[in-house]
Amino acid sequence: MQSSRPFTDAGMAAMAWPTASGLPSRAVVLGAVGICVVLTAALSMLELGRGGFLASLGRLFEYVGNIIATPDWEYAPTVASKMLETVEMAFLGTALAVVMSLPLGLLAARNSAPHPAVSHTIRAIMTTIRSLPELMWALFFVTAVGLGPLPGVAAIALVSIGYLGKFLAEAIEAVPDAAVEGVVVHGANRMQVRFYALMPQAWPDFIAVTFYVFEHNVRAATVLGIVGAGGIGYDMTMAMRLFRYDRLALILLAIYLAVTILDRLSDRIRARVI
Amino acid sequence: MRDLSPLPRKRVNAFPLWLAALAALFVVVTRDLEIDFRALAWGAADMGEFLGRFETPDFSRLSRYLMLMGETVAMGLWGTALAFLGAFVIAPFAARNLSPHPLIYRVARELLNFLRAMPDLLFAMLFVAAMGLGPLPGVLAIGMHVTGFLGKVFAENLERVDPGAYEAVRASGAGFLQTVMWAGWPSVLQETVGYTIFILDRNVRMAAILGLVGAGGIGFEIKTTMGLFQYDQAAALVLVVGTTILAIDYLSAWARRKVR
Amino acid sequence: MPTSNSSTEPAIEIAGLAKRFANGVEALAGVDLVIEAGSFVVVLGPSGAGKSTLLRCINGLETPSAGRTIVEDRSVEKRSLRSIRSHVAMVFQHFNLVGRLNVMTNVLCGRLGKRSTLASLIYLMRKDDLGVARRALDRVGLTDRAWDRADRLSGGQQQRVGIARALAQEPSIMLADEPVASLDPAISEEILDLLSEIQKQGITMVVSLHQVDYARRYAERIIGLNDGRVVFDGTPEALSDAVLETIYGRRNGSNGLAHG
Repeated sequence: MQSSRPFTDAGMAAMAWPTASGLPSRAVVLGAVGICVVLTAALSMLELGRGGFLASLGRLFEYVGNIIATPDWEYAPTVASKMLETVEMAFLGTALAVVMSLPLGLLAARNSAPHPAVSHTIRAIMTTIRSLPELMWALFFVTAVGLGPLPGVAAIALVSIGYLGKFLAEAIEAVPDAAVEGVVVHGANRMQVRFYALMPQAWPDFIAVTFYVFEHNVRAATVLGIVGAGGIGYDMTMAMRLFRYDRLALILLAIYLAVTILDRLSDRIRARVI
Repeated sequence: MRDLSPLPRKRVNAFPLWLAALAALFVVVTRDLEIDFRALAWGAADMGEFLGRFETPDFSRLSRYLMLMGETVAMGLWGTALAFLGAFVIAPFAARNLSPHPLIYRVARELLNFLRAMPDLLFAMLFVAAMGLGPLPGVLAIGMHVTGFLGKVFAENLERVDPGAYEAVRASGAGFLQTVMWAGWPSVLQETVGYTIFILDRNVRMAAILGLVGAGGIGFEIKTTMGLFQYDQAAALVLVVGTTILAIDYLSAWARRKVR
Repeated sequence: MPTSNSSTEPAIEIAGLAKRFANGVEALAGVDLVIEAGSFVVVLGPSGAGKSTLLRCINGLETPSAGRTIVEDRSVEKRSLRSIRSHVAMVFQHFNLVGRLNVMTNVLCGRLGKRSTLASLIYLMRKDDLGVARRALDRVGLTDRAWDRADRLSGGQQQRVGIARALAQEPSIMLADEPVASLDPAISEEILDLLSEIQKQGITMVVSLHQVDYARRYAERIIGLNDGRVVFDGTPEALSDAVLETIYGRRNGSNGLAHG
């Protein structure tokens, strides 16, 4: 088996692509060029760190090295309880969102809303809610109700309603008209149509997405503590400010473990329930 | 009349059980967190007042805001580019029917899981602490976390390719890399491009958020203005971010429709 | 180019080949076989007889639980797979093309075993490879469809592409695993005619079939397989009804799919 040396002059002339012209297709070339142009333009907009890119990377490796060094195991119980609080926040927020997005999703779907104005308004509200990150909402709620896990739960719930509501609405809209007709023909009124034709079809997908949303919320909950909205984020900020790398190591480990375990659990349960 | 044949035993409907368990869990957790939901109602007035501070957005420094937004979009683009590269390289090793060795498969999968598990914000906080303020930590944070997400999606797509195609290419004597490039990626091209466009949308959103912890972009400006109680400017910034994200939303939906 | 035209030199030697799958199924229970270069051998038997497994052990797509296979004086094992596969080509029942690539690229897959360059990873191939592919395509009569997407072709055409891909390897041995099971009779005959012509030009042809009449028409030698064992080895003339019963009969004495 020979391997050729394709990059000599004679070599290049002897090679071609498997297309009618011997060159890559126009779509591929345009796409590649386009991407390069966009990325180069973007690069010029990014002012990269002082001292250059490599120096920054060097500092990063040094920092990571510090963290991996010696974890402070005595800190473990505190970390565990804060992690538990974080997970509980995510759970509450998700549960609340599920409950509240059911009626909202029904109202937002064009084929189950009592009036198009209703569906449009609710859709718009949900889009607005979604466009702000949980962190900003948490900040907003902290100013209203003070520090603690409540603003965190509220922020998570609110953003999740935005996502779940939109998803449910789309799932309901995707229900084929035939299914609705089958029920209407037997004299069902609007409410009955919603519960017997629309929800049963949209339900399984909705449940599946709920799990994904929960997985996302656990991650979101870990950082809300930065603004005082409960959870392990606050401890993490403190550890970084005080250069307590040993505690930081434990916190990161706890987050990784919690997220991974919950992800696996959530996948298993989802597979059983669907 | 003949007796009817017996119905098969009906599966026990577990749904009410699940519901009850969840409700119980809900109560337990609320107690544990010592949360009183009524506080939200009491705090409604405060929320209203807080929102009121944003009534009059100040667009006087709009050109600067647009430039910052551009930087944010650039962060999202480069974060996506890095993530795509990372996922492109790792995913074939994390696909069970492609991976050259089961051990390599496990390691690749675990690596992707790890990157996915840590939220970008976390990476960003660490990277900012290590490298200082600026967009670079943000780009790296997005790149790392999203490599995990894209990598897992790509790997699952590669696993779903008709195994016959892989077999045939291997039977012609092709090696691992050739099988991946000739039978793997071409078979999942549409999904791959679609997901990447979808994640670009999410990454620009993320880039705006990462600024809140100092990783460059418009988020950082929002944090500083709010810290200085300059709510008018913060309001303008939020509007700029919101509009840009909406625009990108539409663009990416359009692009994904064209790819299909 | 085929290595030797001598019909006395063995191309494939199989000794004591056995294969038990993880789920306990014993696909091959001790097969001894010698296949001469340049011959047209049909492996005949009902489904589940082990025909596929036998062929796949020859080019290493399956690893036997016991016994060994020697192809052109080289033992089939992990190290020698790549070099063996550059001389042994396979045609599959379900064609196993990469649907989204064009016909020419699919045929070019056959050259991958001979070219392990970096350039091949971006589909950049040598012009002589393209020439070989083009000749193979011409041989099966599909030059006019060279740039069409492979999944737009009919079943028979796709199988011809599969054969062209096999030809592009310039093999000395061709294995065809139920090549016409997914095709209707008229097309099946075209395909088998094609394989027969290819064999007459000097390539050893091993075809597994379950259709007795095709076996009778095309084979120089028929190997009857049942339950993983060779129960017949002879010329088509010697294939009597009694013999057919040993091939297609089941262990419990009932008759399988014996067609006349």
